[in-house]
Amino acid sequence: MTKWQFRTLDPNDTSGASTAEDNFAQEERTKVDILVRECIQNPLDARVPGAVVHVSFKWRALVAENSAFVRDLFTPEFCAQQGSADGVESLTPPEEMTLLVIEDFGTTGLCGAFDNSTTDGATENWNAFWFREGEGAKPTKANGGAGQGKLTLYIASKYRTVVALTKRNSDGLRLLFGSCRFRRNYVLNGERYAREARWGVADAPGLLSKPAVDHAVLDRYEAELGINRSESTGTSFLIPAPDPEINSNAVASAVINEFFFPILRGTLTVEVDGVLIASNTIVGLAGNYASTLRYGPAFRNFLFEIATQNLDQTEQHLVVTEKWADCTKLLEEHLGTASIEQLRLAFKSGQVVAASFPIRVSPRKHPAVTGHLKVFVKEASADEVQELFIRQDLAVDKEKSLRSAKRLMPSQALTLIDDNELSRFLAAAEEPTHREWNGTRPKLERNYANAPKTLRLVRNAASRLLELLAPPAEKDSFALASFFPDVAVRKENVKAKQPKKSGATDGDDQAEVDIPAPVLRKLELKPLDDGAHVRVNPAAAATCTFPMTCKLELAYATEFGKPFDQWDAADFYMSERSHKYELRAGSDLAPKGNHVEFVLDGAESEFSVTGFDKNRQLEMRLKYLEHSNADHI
Amino acid sequence: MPTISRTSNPTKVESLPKGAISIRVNKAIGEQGVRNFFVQHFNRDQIALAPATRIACIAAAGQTTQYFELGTVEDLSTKAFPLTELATDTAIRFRVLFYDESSSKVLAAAENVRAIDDDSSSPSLVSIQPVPLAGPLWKLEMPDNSAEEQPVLLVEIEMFSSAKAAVADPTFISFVLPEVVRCIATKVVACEATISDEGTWMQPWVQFFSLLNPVALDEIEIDVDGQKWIDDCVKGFCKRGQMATLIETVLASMNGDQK
Repeated sequence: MTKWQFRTLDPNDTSGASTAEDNFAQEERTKVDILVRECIQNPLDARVPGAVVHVSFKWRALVAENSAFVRDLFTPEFCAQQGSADGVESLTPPEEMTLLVIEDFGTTGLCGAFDNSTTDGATENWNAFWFREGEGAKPTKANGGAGQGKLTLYIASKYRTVVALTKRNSDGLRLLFGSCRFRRNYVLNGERYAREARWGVADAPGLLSKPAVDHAVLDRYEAELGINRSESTGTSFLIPAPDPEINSNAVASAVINEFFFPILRGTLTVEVDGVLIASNTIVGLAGNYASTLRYGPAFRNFLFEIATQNLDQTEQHLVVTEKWADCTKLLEEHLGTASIEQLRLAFKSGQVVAASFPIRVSPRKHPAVTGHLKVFVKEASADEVQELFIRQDLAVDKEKSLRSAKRLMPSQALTLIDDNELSRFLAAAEEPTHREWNGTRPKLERNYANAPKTLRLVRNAASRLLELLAPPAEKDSFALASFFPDVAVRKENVKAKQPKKSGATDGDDQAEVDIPAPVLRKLELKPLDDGAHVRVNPAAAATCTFPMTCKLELAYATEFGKPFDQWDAADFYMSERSHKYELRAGSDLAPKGNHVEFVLDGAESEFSVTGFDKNRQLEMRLKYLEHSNADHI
Repeated sequence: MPTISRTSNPTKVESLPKGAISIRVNKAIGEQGVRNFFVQHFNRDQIALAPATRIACIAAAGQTTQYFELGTVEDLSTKAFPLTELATDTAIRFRVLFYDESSSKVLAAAENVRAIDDDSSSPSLVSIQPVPLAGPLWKLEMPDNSAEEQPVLLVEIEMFSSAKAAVADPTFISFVLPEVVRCIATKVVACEATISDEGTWMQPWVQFFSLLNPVALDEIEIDVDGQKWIDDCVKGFCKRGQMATLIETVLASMNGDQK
């Protein structure tokens, strides 16, 4: 049976609000981005060796009267404590509640001691997750390490509560435990209370709260919540009443934004509400979320190219010698056997150029070791410039190297750090958000010598490579074309691109061409407000041969298709009485359907028809034949 | 058989003659995958509308559309607008509407205007080359009046080691290119007698300046209005297309509103 444990403070304890939460209030990241980053980073750190990590996000709708989980969580005591922490009398238990279920697979679960909260160590994940803040159990090479990320799970819940069901690969045990982290300490019945409350099998404040291990209890929760931890190791986090902004679209977009490359390279798969985001689906899905993604299509293609073509072909990588670290520029002599001309040629032709850079890391307590990072660069157009640092599958996206190479060539760059030694060093340099490095962090100073120089080399590797690859300066006659277009050339180009008319022959242009004089039309057709008017063109009257047989077709304009083909008798039907006809100096007037035929006898002849809808666009077409061939009309 | 076709106009909306307005589409500098459009040319004389008549534009590609306000007939905005909501896999068409602001009545329209699409295969009227300049950061080199080759914008190689890097820098472009226009416009005014000679580098510039300045060079008294004509060309260049957008970006960044 699960119980809440609330703990009062000693009279000498200091109380206040948690300051660690402020580290996760970032202007350029939504709360969903931050939650997703933390929820996936932890499983990546707890990966079972060689396994592909799979993380799933699901939303469950729970009805309190049918849910043992809701009833067990929202005890009268919990409601009273929640109410005090929120400054209200008491919380009313919800009748219906959404539950966000975040499950990871291919991971170790929360290993380590669960019956002794004083145990510390690299594998003590249980204590690190439930009983530590500001320091983690993770080895420093891991993605996390600051020990603050778990807070984001609590912040995501309306009740600041997280429950986890974990199955450990170390001992095969299934453990269920929960915790509530209030924003600040609170007072209830004249007593100050701790910010954390535990949900386990002990309620006495003086005892260590331990997880539920009873199979019957765990099986009941699993069945009710639709999760299955009996089968595989890993952890299922349950977040009651998640923030409504944390919905499937926002989570999918955040996953693609934050973990595009590890998913692409196949080290991670994520399922969001039944939609699988994996190496073979992420490119298509990214297209659906294009408007919310930080990386444009050109950069995503660049990463795709690296993940599918460049990553495993290490023999094609340029290997830089260790001497590069002692110079301010990358020189030809640092390239080993590689040919600088071939590299420049490859870069100029738009290929990805890859290089491996050795970097010396000097831990204070151990001998110095050499770590390696890989740099991938590719020429890009001015609007496609973008770069990224990825350390052990985590994007350190605030770091920028190419700013210093702005004068060289618009390019895209990826700096990839998979090496354990270098990763340990960089993890120690990371700010709690893991988005940038800080060469003066105390943890870094404490553990490493020459840290600022090492960090500078990591940051500058891409720009040094780019400087080497940038082609020699040359005149460019096209670069400014969008500001100074040669209009005349463009017109000629357009003409040249036009398809040739059928029957046109190839051949040299003739020096002189007799351009025929324009031929005047013999009749004039003029639209009226509600009809049409036909007359002989006075300027061409002398050339006409009378009588002239005419056929005037009419139809209302249509949005699609040909109006004359789509004429319908319901639009109008021309007969002798339907419309008003005026024929002067003419004969043989014959209206029928959507056309009228008539004969014009002389130069002064004219014809008009009116009575159509003034509010509709009327299409009209006049065909005419002169006396000599009028029989063929 | 001779055939004549006509269509009535019940709405009395006037159609703009072909060529009265032209629109150019190009890639936006500094924004991934975004295209811009701007009105390259508008001949006010070809349509009788009040100067205060408002102009709107609807860009369409496939099933997607985007709406823009372009100002008025007397003050038409020629700056570049980003086409962020259009499908990218199909051709863009524009519909330009002229309407009365008080009654919202459409007075004239240019339907199905096809954009002139920038492609990088057409050369520029100015080349650009990084070289050591030993002092100044840029210099415009203009050929002899009768030569065919185009002017070259030289940039200090220590500042930009490639032409593309220079073009990717909004501050450099927005500071330097208007002065390039001024230098060339000054040269064209000074050589007014020979600019119509076939095959010289200045001849295409006259056509280019006609896009920037509604007043043709041969319509002005050089000694009296020459300087004003040059200034108007420079201002026209700065208000037009991508240049206007870049200047806006630079001004915004100076005011702390960096994109």
